Amino acid sequence: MKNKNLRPALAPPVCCHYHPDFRTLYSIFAQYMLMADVTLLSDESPSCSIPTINPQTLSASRFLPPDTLIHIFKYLPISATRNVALCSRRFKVLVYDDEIWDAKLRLLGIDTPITLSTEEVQGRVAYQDTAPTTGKTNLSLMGTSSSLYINNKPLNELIPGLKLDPFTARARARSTGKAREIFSQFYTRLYPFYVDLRHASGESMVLSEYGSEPEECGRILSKLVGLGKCKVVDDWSQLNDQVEKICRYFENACLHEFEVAYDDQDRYATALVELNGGQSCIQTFIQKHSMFYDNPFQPDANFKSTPPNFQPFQEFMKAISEELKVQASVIHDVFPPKADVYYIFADRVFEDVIADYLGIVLERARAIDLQLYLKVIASSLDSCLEFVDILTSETLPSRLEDERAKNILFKLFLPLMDDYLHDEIQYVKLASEKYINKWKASTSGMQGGPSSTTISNQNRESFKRKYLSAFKKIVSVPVELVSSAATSISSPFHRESKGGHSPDVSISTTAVANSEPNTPTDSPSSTPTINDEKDDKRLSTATLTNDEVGEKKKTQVDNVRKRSSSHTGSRPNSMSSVRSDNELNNAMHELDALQHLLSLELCLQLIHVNKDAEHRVQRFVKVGFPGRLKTDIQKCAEHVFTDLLKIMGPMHIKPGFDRAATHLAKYTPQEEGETRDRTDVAPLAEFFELVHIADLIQQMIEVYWKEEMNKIVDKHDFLNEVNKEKKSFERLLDDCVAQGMDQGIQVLIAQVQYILTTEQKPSDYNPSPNEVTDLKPSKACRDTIDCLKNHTEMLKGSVEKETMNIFYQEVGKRFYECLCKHIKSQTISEQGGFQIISDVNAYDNYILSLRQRTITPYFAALKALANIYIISNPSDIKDVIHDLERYHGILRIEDLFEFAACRSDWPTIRRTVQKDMTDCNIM
Amino acid sequence: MVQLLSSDNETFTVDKQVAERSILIKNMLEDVGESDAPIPLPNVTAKILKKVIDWCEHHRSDPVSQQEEVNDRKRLTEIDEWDQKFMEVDQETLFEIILAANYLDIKPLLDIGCKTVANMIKGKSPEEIRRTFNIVNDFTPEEEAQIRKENEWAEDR
Repeated sequence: MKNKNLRPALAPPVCCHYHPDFRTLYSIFAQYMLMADVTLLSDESPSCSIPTINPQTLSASRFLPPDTLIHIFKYLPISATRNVALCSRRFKVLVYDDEIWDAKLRLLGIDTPITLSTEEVQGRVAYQDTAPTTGKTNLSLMGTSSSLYINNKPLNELIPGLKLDPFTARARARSTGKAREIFSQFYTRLYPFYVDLRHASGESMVLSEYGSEPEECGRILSKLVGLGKCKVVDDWSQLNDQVEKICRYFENACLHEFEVAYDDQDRYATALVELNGGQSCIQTFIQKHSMFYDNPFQPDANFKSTPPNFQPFQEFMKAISEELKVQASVIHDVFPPKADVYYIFADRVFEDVIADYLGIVLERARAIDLQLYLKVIASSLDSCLEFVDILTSETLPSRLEDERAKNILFKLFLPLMDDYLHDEIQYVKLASEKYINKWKASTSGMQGGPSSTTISNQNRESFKRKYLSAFKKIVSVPVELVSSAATSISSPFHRESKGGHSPDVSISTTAVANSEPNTPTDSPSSTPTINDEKDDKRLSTATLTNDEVGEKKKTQVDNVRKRSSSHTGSRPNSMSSVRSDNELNNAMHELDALQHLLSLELCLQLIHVNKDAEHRVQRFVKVGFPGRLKTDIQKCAEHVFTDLLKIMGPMHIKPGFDRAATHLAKYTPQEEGETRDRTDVAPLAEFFELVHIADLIQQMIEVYWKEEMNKIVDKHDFLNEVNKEKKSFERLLDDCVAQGMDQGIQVLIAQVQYILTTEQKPSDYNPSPNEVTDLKPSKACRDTIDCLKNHTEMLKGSVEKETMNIFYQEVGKRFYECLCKHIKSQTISEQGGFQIISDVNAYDNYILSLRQRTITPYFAALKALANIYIISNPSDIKDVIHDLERYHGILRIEDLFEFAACRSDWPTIRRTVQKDMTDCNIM
Repeated sequence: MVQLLSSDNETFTVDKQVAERSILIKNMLEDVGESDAPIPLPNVTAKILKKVIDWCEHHRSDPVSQQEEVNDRKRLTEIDEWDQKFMEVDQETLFEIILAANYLDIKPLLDIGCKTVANMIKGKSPEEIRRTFNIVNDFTPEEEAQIRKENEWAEDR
């Protein structure tokens, strides 16, 4: 809000009701203000009585408000203020006012507690409030208004940016007169030196008196400059020229001494700082530092060997941190603290030395490999944070406040961040796609024969649990420990990672050298141990995949192992990581066979690439960049995660499910022929396994999300991109499962039908009379149940309960229909009736085991129905058929007759059974 | 264009840009919006308003410095030539211009006016100053002596 003097006071009459004639009101009010002004004036000079002045000669000067008078007095030379003070009481009060003298003190470079200007009215109000016991109770017009409070705020403060009205601000009684006294002290002291310059033919008084004390001399000179700015005398311009001349002379002399006399360097430095902040000597001091003109570190040195070796980078960073420490004490010895030379020095180091070096290194690294670049920038952030630690360290003689030190860091990284964030996202995308494509290429070869190795049901649960817990451990193991050679460059203590693990591991440089060449080219560096072991395993089991990696990586793994064992501090961590690796490997091995559609391993790789990137970004998040970058970095961190889901979902999981679905669609039971185990529908099993893997992947993502994203994203924020993307990823999975499930049921029922039709021998239910039945369920029945059981149980634990229920019910209903059709197609003798009862009982048992209340009645009805096959008396059959309550209302009478028609003796009993019905019909 | 109405009912038509040298009018225009009705300025006579408008016309394209730097005292006592001429008026008019500038919130004009007055004051004796401002000495001799003593340090030596 701009400074709109008059508007607040208008508020009561106008703002509430918009008066039609606003302008008139406005001006009337303004007039009122002017009148009030006059009243106040006469208040303050009581003896200046109105009758003594002829109204016709009433000069406008009578109306000059106190503000304006003070404004005028500000322009007076000091000597004139005396005469003004002698004019009248009113003028004396005004000319003694703090506002005039505060301004002059500020020019002198002195901050007094009474430094208050009109712009600081609010401060003044506070000041007034704290000193109400001045004895003089001035009952000025507005004196009361400042004591009007609304919500504990003075009335006038309620409108932000608004000045208090001139009356409160200018209430003379509130002026302390202290500012003038302080000024007078300085003035008396400085004045002789100042006016001495009028006849500056000889040596100046300042130099002759203080020549031997450079510090004091500098101080006086700087004050003289300030006094010159106050323009205390009429001939100030000549005098100021003189002051300037002397200052220049003095500065040059001091600078010379500063450069030459090393013993007294600090005295001259102080003198110069006192004089004018000492910029000249600070510049000299800094420029003379060898780091700025003779920097032995060449960024190119890092790239001399073909796999870039970052030893020089490390040395460079180390040298700088050493130098920062050394300079902290040197600067402390030479310069007074207020000159803030350490900051200037550090700023220059960052700006000139580090920025240049880093710029070139990053550019070169980027030209070679994106990942290398990302690593270097992340590790340089670490190094620079370390510098910040040094800069702010309490133990060094000179230190900076955290915020300023951080600001230097921000300044360094600001120009780099946009590129970095962009590249990070790019990298995640590219790397993920690369892995997916690689995996696709490797699996396309073995597409032909889907492997039939499935995990046995009882193992599945424990397997998944094992796998997940291993995964959880691995996710929570800090990346820095396992890998990221770049991070380890030059950092004796790593930045904290998270979750209480703080791996104080200084990875030996040899290990760095070893691993550095590998990482850029192959799999995600954050997971060498995990992937490597997997790779080794896979090579040894000769299943598939990238051969080049294994050998090299093996050494790396060994390195990591050796490292972890040699550093006792880190042992628990690395041990657990190694152990969990092993667990994971065992689990992996079991799953290997299934992974031609969906690869857990691939997902693991993707997650690790992602985690790697995420950790890099989160390091930047933690530093807490200001302003726009803060949101940008946060966005990037979220983006990295959402990219994982965006890539994994549509590019890996969806195609996997699609392929499984096509397998299912292509499947027809007949093609499988007699050779295979009929209770096993390969594509179906495959699909169910897929559901399991998908479930596992989802849980992995969940773990990863909890572990990584919850640090930076509020998990209840449903509008957040991360959470939205996760939801949609889960939805994609569900959709995939649901779609395949539908087809799966069809295939399952088709298989069941196939088993029933091919395996059910006519003799099962219509045995030759002399054959002895053992009253066990027939083979067809057993196979059918096995088949159903196998497949329904496969799904257990992978999908939600509701989905399971729906699945069971659907299977149950369709199986029932299928079974009815099957029974109707049979011919059943009385003896076979027992067989069918035992079969139906078996089916019913199976269905009961599903615990689906909606489908049990169907099979109970079938059970009841089966009795009609063992009754020999036709009229009894008739009774049973008509007793509809037995069938829970599920079977209609027509159905029952159809079932009855399956009896082998149907032609003979038909008439008797149907007779009553006909009668009924007639009746 | 903006119409301004002086206290003695004379209407002046000026460019909006010129009128907006006055912060008071500028804020008013922002609040009330464009309107053909003249803005009444009951504290300013036609004679003074004319002078003020002249000044605003001449300085119409000056950069508007919102917040004057405290340290920026370059123009402390210097007044540029045109302004010096402009201020060559009788004392009564000068004070009225200052009042108008204060009322209309035209800071640069107020500054110039104040500087002119300061130049008038300096070098004058207390009695001369009293005469200039048409004020009466209300000190007792003891008080006067006291003030003289208080101000010894400020005397030219």
